[in-house]
Amino acid sequence: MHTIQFFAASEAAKNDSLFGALGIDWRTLILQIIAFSILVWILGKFVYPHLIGAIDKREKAIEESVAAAHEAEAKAEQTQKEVEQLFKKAREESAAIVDTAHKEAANMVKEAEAKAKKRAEQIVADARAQLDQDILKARAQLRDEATELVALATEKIIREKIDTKKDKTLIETALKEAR
Amino acid sequence: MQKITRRKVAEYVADQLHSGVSTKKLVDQAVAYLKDQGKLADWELLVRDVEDVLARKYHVVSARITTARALDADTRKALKDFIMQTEKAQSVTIVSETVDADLIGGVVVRTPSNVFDSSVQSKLKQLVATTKG
Repeated sequence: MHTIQFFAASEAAKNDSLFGALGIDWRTLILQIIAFSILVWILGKFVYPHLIGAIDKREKAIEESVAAAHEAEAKAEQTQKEVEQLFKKAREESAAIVDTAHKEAANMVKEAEAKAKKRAEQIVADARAQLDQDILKARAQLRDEATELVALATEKIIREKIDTKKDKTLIETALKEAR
Repeated sequence: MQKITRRKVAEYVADQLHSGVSTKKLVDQAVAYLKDQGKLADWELLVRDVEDVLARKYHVVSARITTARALDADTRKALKDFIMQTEKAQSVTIVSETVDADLIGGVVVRTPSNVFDSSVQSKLKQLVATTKG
């Protein structure tokens, strides 16, 4: 360590200046400054404008993309809202349709029931009327048959009772009554 | 031969009979006429028409009598009197007497203009019809 310090001190002494004390060669430094300035100038003249332009362009493109994304997002949100509105409207309409269908179906069932009831009542009424007619017919037939039987029995009895003498009396009586 | 109606023929026959022309001769003429006209089947109708003309025009009534038993003389006379009175006839001829046991009793008298039915059978039929309504 002491050796290094000593060496440095001896070199500084050689240069007899601050740059020398610091180990900087001022000529080299000037050259480096000139080179650096030339480099800065070249960069500022030819590279940076292109880079900044590209960066600006890229930034602008990104901003546009972001704006487009925002716009798309807004449009998507709007579309989502519209779709929701449409869904809502569709649900309401479908609910209304279903409700109407239910009501119509209920009405149809009601009407069918009423029709069936009326038809059933008509059938019952017809059956009763037919039954009444059948009863009347049967009664009339029974009465007729009874009458026929009575007539046959009467004829038989009268045939047995009437002899020639009674027949003669019968004729004479009929002639008297007819005059 | 000229075509004439059965009614006209009946009137001719009735007139001839009433004026005393032979029955046989009139029957032969009527039969010949009907045969010529191809209407022999109308013989019964012609006879009825002649009876009708005799009754209406000359008050000579022919009667067909149906009874359940054969008539005796008294009943026959009573029937003739009855017909004379009811038909206002000058004379009555009983054309036929038929016995039909189905009558049961009583009498059926048929004249050209009337039917008198006092048979038990018809009374029973009327009774049955009335009861049946």
